[in-house]
Amino acid sequence: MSDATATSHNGVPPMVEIFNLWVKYDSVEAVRGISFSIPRGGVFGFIGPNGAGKSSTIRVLATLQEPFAGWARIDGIDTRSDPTRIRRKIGYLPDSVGLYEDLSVREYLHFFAAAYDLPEANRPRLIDDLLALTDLAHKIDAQVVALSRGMQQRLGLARVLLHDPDLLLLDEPASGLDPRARIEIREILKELARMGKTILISSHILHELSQLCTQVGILEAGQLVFEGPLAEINRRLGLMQLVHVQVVNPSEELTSRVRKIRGVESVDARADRLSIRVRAEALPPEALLEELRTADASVRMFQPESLELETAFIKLTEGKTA
Amino acid sequence: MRRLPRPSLRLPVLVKDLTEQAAQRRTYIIRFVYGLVLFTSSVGLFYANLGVRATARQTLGRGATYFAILLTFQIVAMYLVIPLLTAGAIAAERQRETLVLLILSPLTPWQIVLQKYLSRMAPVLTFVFLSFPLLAITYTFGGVTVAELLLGIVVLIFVCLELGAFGIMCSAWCTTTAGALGATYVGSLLFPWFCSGVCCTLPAAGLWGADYVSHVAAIVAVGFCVFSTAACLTIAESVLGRVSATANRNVPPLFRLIDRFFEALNLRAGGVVLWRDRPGLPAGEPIRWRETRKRSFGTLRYLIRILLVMELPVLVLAPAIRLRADPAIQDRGILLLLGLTWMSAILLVAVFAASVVSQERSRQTLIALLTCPLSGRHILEQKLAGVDRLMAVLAVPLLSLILFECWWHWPVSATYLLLSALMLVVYFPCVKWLAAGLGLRMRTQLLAVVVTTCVLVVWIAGTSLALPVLNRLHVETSAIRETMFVLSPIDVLRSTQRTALDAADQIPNSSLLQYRPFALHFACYAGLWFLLRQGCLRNLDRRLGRVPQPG
Repeated sequence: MSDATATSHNGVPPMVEIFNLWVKYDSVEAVRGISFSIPRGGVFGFIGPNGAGKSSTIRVLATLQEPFAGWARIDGIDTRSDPTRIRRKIGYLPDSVGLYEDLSVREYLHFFAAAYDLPEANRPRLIDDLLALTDLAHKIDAQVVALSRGMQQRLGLARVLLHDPDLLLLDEPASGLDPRARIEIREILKELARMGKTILISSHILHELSQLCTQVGILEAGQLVFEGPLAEINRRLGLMQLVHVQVVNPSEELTSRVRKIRGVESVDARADRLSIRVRAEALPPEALLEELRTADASVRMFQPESLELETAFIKLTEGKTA
Repeated sequence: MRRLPRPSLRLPVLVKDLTEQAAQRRTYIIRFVYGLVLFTSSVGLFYANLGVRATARQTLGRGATYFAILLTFQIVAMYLVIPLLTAGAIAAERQRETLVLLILSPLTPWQIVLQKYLSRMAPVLTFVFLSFPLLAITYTFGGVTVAELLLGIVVLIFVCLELGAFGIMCSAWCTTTAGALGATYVGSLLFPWFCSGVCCTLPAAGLWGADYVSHVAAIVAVGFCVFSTAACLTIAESVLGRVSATANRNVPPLFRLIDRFFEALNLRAGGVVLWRDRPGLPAGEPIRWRETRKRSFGTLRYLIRILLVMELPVLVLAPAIRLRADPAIQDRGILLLLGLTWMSAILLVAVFAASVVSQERSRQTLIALLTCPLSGRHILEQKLAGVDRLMAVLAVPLLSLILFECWWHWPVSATYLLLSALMLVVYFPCVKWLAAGLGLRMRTQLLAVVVTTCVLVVWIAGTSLALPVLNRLHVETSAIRETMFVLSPIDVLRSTQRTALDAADQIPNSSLLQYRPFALHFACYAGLWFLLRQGCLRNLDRRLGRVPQPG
């Protein structure tokens, strides 16, 4: 775990700091003493089985959970000391979006723009921009109730971006969505990460998190069993990464040269490609590409698969809930 | 030897519902409270009439009256309880989106409807059976024959079965539990099964002075009950397959029906548009904007409909009572009309105010609001803006009736106007803040509405019935009498009406001291208004479900 008590890095506090957080519901301890921090601009993936305490932790950060023990800070501000200021800094998308069905998309976004007291003159342009970002511009006058689940989720994302928050708290944003809608959400989140937003995202669709997150936290039974960069998980668990390579000059000799590269576990020569399994911590994809060039491979296609986060999850957890 | 297949009577929906009910603590609490109220009132009634040392000769023949009172109590109680039990039977499944699973199962719509019906009738019949020992006691007092006793019980059971079927029909028809609840209450008062049950049962028990048993009336009532029960369940079965399996939370179906009717009528009249709602976009207070411009019951066009529904009976009935009715019952008729108008207005305010937060919570829209930088106080006050408009609209029929009475009794005393105005000013906010406070504490809209309605009914009925009961028990003193008057809105309404009826010249002669109970009453209710408001606003953020801003 990173030292959450070390609240500043170059004088600037991390965007999120949680230290020894405990959340109890009657006799059930949903969160049991977790600590972690998220640097500015980081994308933190919160992984865990249902009931592990992900939503409770996010609710603490969203100033919706009281009481709790320990402390949680956003941009250096304690969530209990100034929740109103915190609310201006965060955009929270709960797992159930809960939209007003009597409003149109335009009215819904104007409603929340007014709730955040945004300047009235700027609202139409801002809303147009957000609808363009979430690809809902053509639905501006549609009733919210008439939108598909994926569109409603994207509208929820547009809503949390209205006041340009520094931190996005997204609780299972892709749950219940079809593959196309999930890809659309993922692309929006990548764009937001490029814009420098700090994102805390909980999901059980691990494949997607691995493509987005700079850091993950694996939660089980209210305790953080792992927290750190993905590469750290790979190193600790010795996970493999699969890379598909298409070369112009395939040959037995080239295959044997690739097998000898340090960090390569196995090479499967298929009709149209080489499927290379590498130890993720020893040989990152960019290093493998360099090694292939050194081995005189004329590379036409180079496609690393996502890291085996699911394997990591299964290895680190036993499916227990709090 | 080949074994014969064992006959199986699998009733999965019934078993599931009964198991659910058995697991809920409130099932036992409600049954205990009902039994307590029934037995305590009955014991109070027996002792108040007979005293502790009543001899057999003194009690002889009194059974008929007690039997009628008990039967009436049971019927009125069932009319209050059965809609609460049946409203959610199917509508709640639809709201939870589990109805579709039932429809897709091998169960037929008939099986679903019947099992839902039986699951709700089981607790209802336990309530009915609770009164049987008391009815047997009335038989021992004499005045009731075995035939009358049995007929009364049979009719009571059939009325319950009929009302239960009507509740199930409303639950199948309406898309929300709250809608089903409202429809069952309104429907049970408007439709003829009320007459079939009450009008035939009560004369049979001799309540209205009839000293004979109308066997024919009872048999007709039972026959009608059986017919209407079957009809309601048939409609429920046919509706179950047709109405969407998921809840449509927009305008209630009845309003949509009325809309279509009036739009068709308007087309024939050339498409006249007197008012067009232009919601615009929110500028400063978004919640207030939504409550008053976008929500079905907040918009002017719906408020006008509510006004018409409330105002028209007043405009028609008040002159009719004064012009046509027997002079002896004119005043009672006007008082009854005023009481019913007040009761309807208060119930509407209570239902809407109890729903403002609980509805957002049920529909999971509250969380998004709570993460906005709006203070809890702003959220609640803006949410109640629609209720404020509703209160203003509901004051119109009451004012019409008050002004009509002023005109009829002209010259009327200023006291009447003052007291009537004070009632309008004080009662509505009290109900609003009470309902909003209870709504804040309840997790679901239905629970909030039910609890608020129960609190109001118990308070209003309790404060007005306490004095007659104490009087019967001979424990009434002037201090108790004044205290009960100060607490009772019905007594104040009755007395205020009497000030209009008194000749204007009597008022100046009376001592100012006679207005002390009125002053105390309004001071008490103004204080209650203040306390309820403070109670709502204190710890509001926590009640809404978020971290409060320190200081």
